[in-house]
Formats: sequence, structure tokens, C-alpha cells
Amino acid sequence: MNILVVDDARDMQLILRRILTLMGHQVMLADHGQAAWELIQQKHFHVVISDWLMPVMDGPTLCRTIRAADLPHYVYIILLTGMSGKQNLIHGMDAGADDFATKPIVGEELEVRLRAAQRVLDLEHTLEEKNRHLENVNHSLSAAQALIQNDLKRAAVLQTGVLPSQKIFKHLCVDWFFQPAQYIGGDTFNYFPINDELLFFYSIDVSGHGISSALLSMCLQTLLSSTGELYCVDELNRKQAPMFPSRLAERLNHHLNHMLDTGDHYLTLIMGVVDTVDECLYFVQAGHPQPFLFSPVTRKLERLQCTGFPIGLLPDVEYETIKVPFPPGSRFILYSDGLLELQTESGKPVSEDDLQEHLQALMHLPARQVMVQLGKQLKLGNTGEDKPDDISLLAIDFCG
Amino acid sequence: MQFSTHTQGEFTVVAIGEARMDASVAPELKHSIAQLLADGVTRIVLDLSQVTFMDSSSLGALVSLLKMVGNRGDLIVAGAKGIVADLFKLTRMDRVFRMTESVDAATCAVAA
Repeated sequence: MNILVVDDARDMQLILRRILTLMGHQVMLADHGQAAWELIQQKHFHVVISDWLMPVMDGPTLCRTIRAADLPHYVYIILLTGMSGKQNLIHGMDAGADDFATKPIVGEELEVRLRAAQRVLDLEHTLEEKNRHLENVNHSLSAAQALIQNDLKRAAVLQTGVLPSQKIFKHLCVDWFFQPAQYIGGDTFNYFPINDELLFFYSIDVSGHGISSALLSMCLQTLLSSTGELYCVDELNRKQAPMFPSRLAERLNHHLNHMLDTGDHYLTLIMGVVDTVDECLYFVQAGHPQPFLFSPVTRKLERLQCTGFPIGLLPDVEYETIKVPFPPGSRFILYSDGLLELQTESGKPVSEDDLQEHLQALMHLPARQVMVQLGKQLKLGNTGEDKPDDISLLAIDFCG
Repeated sequence: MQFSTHTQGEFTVVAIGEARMDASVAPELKHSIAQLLADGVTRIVLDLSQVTFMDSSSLGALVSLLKMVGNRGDLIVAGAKGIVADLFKLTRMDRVFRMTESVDAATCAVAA
């Protein structure tokens, strides 16, 4: 080991150097604490053996100086003392000494004390190695996590890329609000005209959050698109419209239970068709939050009390199409349960009744304004406030 | 996830001690009850009386457990209330699970 001997007595320095050199150590000498401290800053000493009383800087002060410094390695300190007594020992340990040896120096005793020093230094060394390794691991993990988070943020932005952009049709106006969750979720929706008379629409919420939920929702967008496997445009005409939503739900349920391994994921949806000739709306309810219907006659917003099995949870269940009148001036509002996980100002979760109340007060406004105002009231779209779940809201107006 | 189990008659009662059953709880819930089933327990009452919120992933976990139980035993949902009970109704899972007001109602009704 590299050992620094600190003593103001020349004979003591020489005795120690001789004993230590014979034991196979490399030894350097210093006359007092200050000289020792200068050497310690330049050279790596494993052990410092220091006298107690010295001019310029004494042993305990040297101890404290070493301990206060941020040295890259541990320095084991043995204080030499001619003094005995508990108080001295406490004083020395408090200053940061690891061990004590009493003068006159006995070679065997010093050898045993240096073996103890070696054990402690070995342990320190192992710990340092482990720490360095953990720091490296930690660093790589943080880097990987940052990469994934960044990727998820990008994915959340891209999720909105599949959402429909057209909002005005011959007789219908549609508007929507969508805010992806912090770590992407499984909400999606779409609508498109079949012809001038029919508009097909759906709002979907895949269970769970994260990449697999989001990918399943993308997969459903493809399945339900006009060119998708499950969807047959020929079949959807005004005569078929009353049966279409429930049949498509059954086909989709079959597909998810038998053709696609969705793991533990399933989905809730409301999917339907607006018929602007018969002025009615057909939809199927599969465990989605109950939609709202605004009637131009009563000027009231009504929650449609309907229930249904989610899709992909149980095989071979039946779905029914629900028919509601939809004269000009009507408005149909769909949303996902992310809205119901928000908190009101009092800290309670937003209930369906709260939502109905908020929306009722906004019914005189065009759909775009409803989205904006509701967003303000529920503090949606605030940057820096990441939501736990996707939030989607869709309004379909019969503008006449 | 906080939960406790005890035996009541022929039933193993699993009482969920969490107010929120969400995506952070669902995998452990599924694993723990699947373990009970693997250990040979067939009649389970799930006490949800402490639960005030349940999300879709927890509901999904319960359904997959129900499928695991199959017709070899029971998985009875007891004490669901408020928005938890509403979720079962909305998704018609109240028609799929046997549901009771309380744990006692579950153990008595089946024994009778």
C-alpha cells in the first residue's frame, strides 16, 4: 500500500519508514499536517499514519481536512497517540480517524492494524465499483426511458392523424375534441358519409392504456374503414340501416374473440348510422358511456339510458340496434370515459350528471363552440397537465 | 394491491382494500386470484364494498377470471355500489356475474 507517515519527530519518521518498508509498503514522509495535506492532494495514499500533536497542523485537523475533501478514493487514517484516555479517542474518531496506535510503536501491532486497513479499503473499493456500475446502468435506463417517453409522445400526436378532418356534410355538421393521454391510450373515432342520406359513425375506447391499446385502436380504424374486411358498403343502404349497427357489432365481436388475439384488451363503442331522409339515428351500444341527445322540440339534452356488452370480452353475445328520432336541429353527443376521470373544482370526479348539466347550458352554441367552451370549463387542453386517459368527444348536428 | 382473504362457510372471501381498481391494480388482481384457483379454491366471493372506482382493465381482469372459473365453481361479486355498480350495469356484466348486495348475502343465498 502507499502509506504517508506524518510526524514532526525525525526519529519517529525513520522508525516507521523502516518497519513499513520491511512489510513491503511504499512510504512517504511529511513533517506536519499541512505538508501531508499538500501531498495527499497530489498522490493517492491508501493509508495515512499521523502523529497527534504537531506544529502548523495537528493530526485531528488533518483528519477533518481529509474527510471534508471530496477525494476520489477512501483514505484510511491511523492516529498515533502517546496520550491515552477515552476523551482523546472520542475526539480522534469524531475528527474522522479510522484507528489508533499508541507510541511506542510495536511492529506486530502495526501489522495487524494495517491488515484491518486493507480489509476496509478492499470493501470500499468493491463498493465504489458497484456504485460505478449502478450509475452506468442507471444512466442507460434513464436514456432508454427518455427515448420511450419521447416515442410515446410522438405516437400520441400521430394518433390524432387518423381522425377525420371533414366537418361539414350535406345535412350534417360534425365536430370533435380529442386529447391523447400522457402515455397514449386507446380512444379513437371516425365518421364518413355513405351517400347524401347516410352518415356512418363510431366512437371507440379500447381498455387499458399504452402501446397495445393504441395499436388495437388503429387496427379497428382499419377494420371499420370503408375498405375494411368487416365493412361492406353494398350492404349499407337506407333499407339495411336499422339492422346494420348491431350486425356490425356482432361481426366485430366475433372477429375480436376468434380472429385477433387482443390479450386482455377489449373495447367499448357506440357505432351507428344517421338517416337524414327518415330523420332518425340507429346505433348500437357496447358498454360505452351513455350518449346524449338534444331535441330541438323540447330544447332538452337527454341521456339515452342504454346498456350493452363490450366488444371482445365475451363471445357470441347479442347486440341490438337502438333507434331514436333525429329531426333537423337535433344533436347527438358521444364521449369516452376519460372525461369521467377528470376532477371537478371540488376534487370529485366529473359525473354524467355534471357533464349533462355543462352540455345543456351550451346547447344554443354551434358544435365547435360547445367543444371550446366545455374544454375551458373542464380545463382540457391545458399544456403541462397530462391526463391519465384519452379524452374524446364527438357531436353530430342535423343542420337541416 | 391491498386485499385480504378469509374463509366463510364454503367460500373464500377476497376483500379488495383499494379504493381505486385501475390499470395499476388489474394485473396483480388477476394473478392473485388465478393463484387461488390454481391452489384448488373454486368458490370465491369478491368483496368490492371498499372500491369506489373501477376502470376497464380491472373489469377485463374480472371477466378473464370468470372464464377461468368456468362452470367448475363460483366467482360472486359482492357489495359493488355507486359508479362500480353502474359500470357492471352499463356493460351488462351484471348479467354475467352473480352479484349480491353483501358478502353475507352471497354466502347465504347460495347455501340456501
